[in-house]
This record gives sequence, structure tokens and C-alpha cells, in this order.
Amino acid sequence: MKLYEYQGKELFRNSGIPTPRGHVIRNLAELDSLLPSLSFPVVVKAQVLVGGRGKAGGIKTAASAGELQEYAKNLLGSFLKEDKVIALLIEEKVAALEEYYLGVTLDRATRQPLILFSRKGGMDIEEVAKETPEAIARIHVDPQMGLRNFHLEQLVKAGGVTDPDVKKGVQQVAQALYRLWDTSDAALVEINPLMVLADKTVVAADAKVDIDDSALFRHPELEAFRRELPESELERAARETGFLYIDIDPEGNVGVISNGSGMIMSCIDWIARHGGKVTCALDLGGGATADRVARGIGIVLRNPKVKSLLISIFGGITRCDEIAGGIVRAVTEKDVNIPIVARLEGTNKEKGLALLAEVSGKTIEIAATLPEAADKVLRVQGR
Amino acid sequence: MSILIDQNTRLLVQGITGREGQFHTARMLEYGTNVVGGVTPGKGGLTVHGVPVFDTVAEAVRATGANASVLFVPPRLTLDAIFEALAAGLKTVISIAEGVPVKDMLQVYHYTKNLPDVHVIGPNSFGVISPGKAKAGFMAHEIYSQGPVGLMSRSATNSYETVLGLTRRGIGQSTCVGVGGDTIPGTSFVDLLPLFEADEQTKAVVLIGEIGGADEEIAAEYIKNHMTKPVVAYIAGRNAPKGKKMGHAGAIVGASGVGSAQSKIEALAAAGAYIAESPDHIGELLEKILS
Repeated sequence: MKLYEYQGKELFRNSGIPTPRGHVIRNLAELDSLLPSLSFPVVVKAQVLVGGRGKAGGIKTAASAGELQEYAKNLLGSFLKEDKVIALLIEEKVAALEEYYLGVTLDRATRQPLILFSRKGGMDIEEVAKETPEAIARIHVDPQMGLRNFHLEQLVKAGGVTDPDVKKGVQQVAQALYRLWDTSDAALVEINPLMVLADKTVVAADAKVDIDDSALFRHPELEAFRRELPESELERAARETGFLYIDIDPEGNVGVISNGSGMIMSCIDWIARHGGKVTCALDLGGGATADRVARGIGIVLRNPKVKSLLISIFGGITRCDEIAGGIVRAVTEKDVNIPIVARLEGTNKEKGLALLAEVSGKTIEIAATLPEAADKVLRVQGR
Repeated sequence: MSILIDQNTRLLVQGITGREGQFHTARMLEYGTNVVGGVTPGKGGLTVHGVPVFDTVAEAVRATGANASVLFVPPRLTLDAIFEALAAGLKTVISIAEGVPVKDMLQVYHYTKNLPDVHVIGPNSFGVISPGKAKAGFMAHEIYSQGPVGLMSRSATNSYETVLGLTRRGIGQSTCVGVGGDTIPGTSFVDLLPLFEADEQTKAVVLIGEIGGADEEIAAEYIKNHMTKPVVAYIAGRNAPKGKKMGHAGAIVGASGVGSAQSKIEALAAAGAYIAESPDHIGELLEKILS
């Protein structure tokens, strides 16, 4: 679960990481009641989850109330890349002497938390990583040992921080950020830029926090954040049915339903090989029942870009008769006006195929293999 | 021969009284697996398909001499169930659950990393099957056949595709292992390669990977330096969409390119593995390699 900057900063402050003073507004009325308490200049930051927000015009400095109202009117409700701006963070403007980068993530190769730090923070940190990787300090932490003082010493040393006050500030923030990563089941916590001010204090000027979705059950304190996050109607409908809906290629016109991300990737690969494009996919996971499958088909069909649907199932824990039952229910009870190609293998395959045979001719075609299914789902379009 | 499980396996089913636990216990028994007991706290004394149920793994091991366990428990309880099995002395623990927190598996990984004889398979895995001998998991066992190919896969569905193709071509399997699709699997490709290399029945190994992480690259290094048996590799996800990217840490860690389909394919090819273009192509390649 990726958090908005203002949500991440709330977690930062609760963890003892300093941030600029700021307020969140969701509409112009909220801005009006906030105005009397502001002193200018302020920074206006569009709250979106896509990267490259600054370069896309999502961050402005307002020198006056009039300027702020102008920016707020233009930004609220607009789109930055594909994300709608639902809120603005209005912050005091702080003057930075330097901009650093600090992040904690999991290094999958070593299966260890990794602290990343660089004095060359800011918008071009990825260029720094490519061109001067030595400018980024990388400190692995053995999770059984936990973060120790020597790690923090190594971090600032490798990062080239020499000023004793700045060093202390960076170490305190690094320690707090690591603890936040550790205790909140985060996949990523990142500060870019971490600003060094004239008085040598350090302040988190941005916040990127991504929480492991599988661990949300043990973080009821984050539930309020989840309700504020953007979710398309189809994504929500899928989540509420226990499935995962994924938008894939806006130019595609094939929908894919399958039981597992591996099979979905293979379907996309095969359809691409036959010259087609997948626009969205629904991952049923394991063990879907007929009733839920029917609802899942309904969700994908609500995407108007879908001109044909491939349902490819290799049942292990998923039973093909449940899948077929769901397909039958969908085509008999719902208004299905696009062709469906079904390909069933695995547990209870024969029972499943028998069920489908009863409704054959009702826009359902059967394929025996995945390549055949990928071919058919493109051929049936526009019939 | 085969690896991890065989006709001598005495299997426990943790979570045996649940819907999936009951259904797949019947399927495992039907396959001829020696399921000696089940565990569900508070349900000790019951039987499921004739299999005695115990309250704890330790009791079950004492009473039945079980030497492996398969977990049909929900993701939230998986960490506890794995540790309970390890505490009771079991060395082969197979976890099915999808949606186990990454932090939980981080704990399991570091607890077991210096215990070479302990294998925690999964989570998010179809299990392990040694065709003709035993299965521990939920795979559709009808498609498997006994033979010389050892298979390990992050994806369940892609491994089924592959096995179906192999069996149709008359190529059987020694053992098929679902490494699982999660960020941190307990046992990964590089832990299984030496087992397949040492197994007499296995004449060739299939590795089915996918984008993300570095396990395929790490396996490639091992293949280059230690494997004498041929390895056929397939990497899924060449056309997969990039996830909505957040932050820069991923790009910094991945600045060397590790994690992409291309990086994995190049590393495996450079290590001498045969690269398959699709699950079906794996069978085609093996037909030539084994003849």
C-alpha cells in the first residue's frame, strides 16, 4: 500500500523525524479557513502517488494568498500523469543548504534490509545511481542483529558527512527511519530530499512509504490511510471479491482472467507473440468458487476496452468445475456480448469442460492449449 | 531417488480440518502419499479421512514418526505453523499459503539459513511432488509422470503447463518443487540445485523463474560453477507491465539491471543453461537434451 506524502509525513513525525510544518486541504473552502494562519512564502504540493511529480508541475511556491489560491484552484482535481490530485499539502518554505537522499528497503538478493544514503539527493538521484554509484552509501543490516551504532557510523562515513552536527542529525533520522521500516512492515521508506538547513538541522522534505499489503491486517492504525487512497471502481470491486484487478495496456483490447500471476504473465506473453495487447487482467488467486468467478467475469466486462476475454486456468487448488460454473452463471445471468475463450486444465478439468459444453454456442470457445487460446482470443474479436 | 519427499515420507498436514486441508488430504491419500497425521489446535482426537488429528505438531511427531509437514493454514498463522514444525524437529516443511507477510518470511529465512538440512518450501507454493511416490501440496497430480527431470518453479501455473507438455512427450519427472511466488521464499533455486545435482534419478533440471528479485541470477552463478547436469530455464514476464513505481530505492538497487527478464536470461545463458521461449518449448528442448 503506497501512501501519500502527507500520510508518510504523519508516520515520520510520530517516529521522531522532523518535517516542515504543513496542512492538508482537500477543497478551496478548507483553504479559505486556513489562509489567516499562513505566513508566506509557502510550498504547495499536489498529493499523488506517481513519481516525477516536481517535473510534472505538481510543486509550486506561492508568495502570497492570491498566488496560493490560484495554484490551489488549478491543481485540485487536475491530473498529474495518470493520478488525480485529491489533496494539497501546504508547507512552510524551508531554505536548504544541501539536499540528501535517505531510504530503507529490502534487498531481495541478500534478504537483508538495506539503508541507502547519498549527499547528492534530489530529483536526479537515479542518474547518480547510474553514473556515480560510489556516491551512494549502501549499508546492509542483518535483521537478527538489528540496526546498531556501527551501522550508523558506517553510513555517514561512506556517505561523506563530516560536520558533527549534520552527522548527528542524519544518524538520528536514519535510526528513526529504520525503526519505522521495521515496525510498520514497510517495503520502502524514503526521504528525498532530506534537507540540511542553515542551523545544521535536517528535515524530511518529502516522504515515500510503501507498506506490505499482506501485513496490513496487523496495522489497524493504517486503515484510515487506506480509505483515503485512490482506487478505481474495478480495483475496489475486485478487492472486495478477494481478487486482484490490474490495468495493463491502455491500448490493449483483450481481458485476461487467470489463477496466479505466473499464468497471467504467460498469457500476456503469448498474446503479445500473436500480435495482440492485453488491456487488463484479473488474478483469481487460488481456490475461487463459482459464485465469485461469475462476479469476477462481471468486473472485467465492465471495462469497455475489453473486446474479448481469455479465461485460462490451470487448476491446482482452484477447481475447474468451479471456474466453469462461474462462466456458465456469468453468460446465463449477465448480459455478455463479447466472445470468451476458455482454457481449462488441472483439478476437475473433465467436470468443468462438461459444464461448459452445456452452454456452448453462447459466445464461449474452448481452447486446449495456451498458445491456441491466445490465438483464438484475438481471432474471435469483431465477429 | 528424488528429492525432499518420496515413498518413505511420513507426512503431517497442519490445518487438516479446514476446507482446503480436508479436500487436499483426500487427494494426497488418493495419490498414495503416506499421510500419517494432521494438526489443528483444539481438534486433537478427531480423524479426517481416517487420519488422526493432534493438537500440536510435537504430539503428532511423537505418535506417528512424521518426518515432513505440509501447511494448509491461513497466511496470518503461517509463521507460527512453520516455527512449530521446526521446533518439533521436522526438516521439510512445505507452506502453501498466499499472502504471508514479507517480514515473517524474512524471519524464517534468517532462522534457517545456516541449517543446511532444513528446507522450508514456499510460501505461495503448490507444494512438492515426487511422481509415483508422494505429493505434499495441491497440484493436479494427474498430469505428472515419473522420470528424469527435476523441476523447480516460482509460478504454479507455469509449472503445470510445463509438466503437461513433458508428460505428453513421454518425459517424466523426478521431483517438482514449487519454490513459491513470494518476495522471500524459504528455500530458493540455489538451495535446490545441489539436491538435484546429487539425485541419481534426476538427469536434467528445469528452472522456471520470473521477473523481480535476483534468485535466477544467483542460481546462474551456481549453475556455472557447480552443475554438471543440463539446466533448461524459462523466465516469465518479458511483456509484463512495469508496476507503478514509487520512490527511487528500487531503481538504485536495480541500477545494474538485475531483476529484469533480460538480466536473468542473459545470466542463465552465460552460465550454460538452455533458454526456453515458452513453457511448451521446455519439453521440446529436453527431448533433444535427453536423447
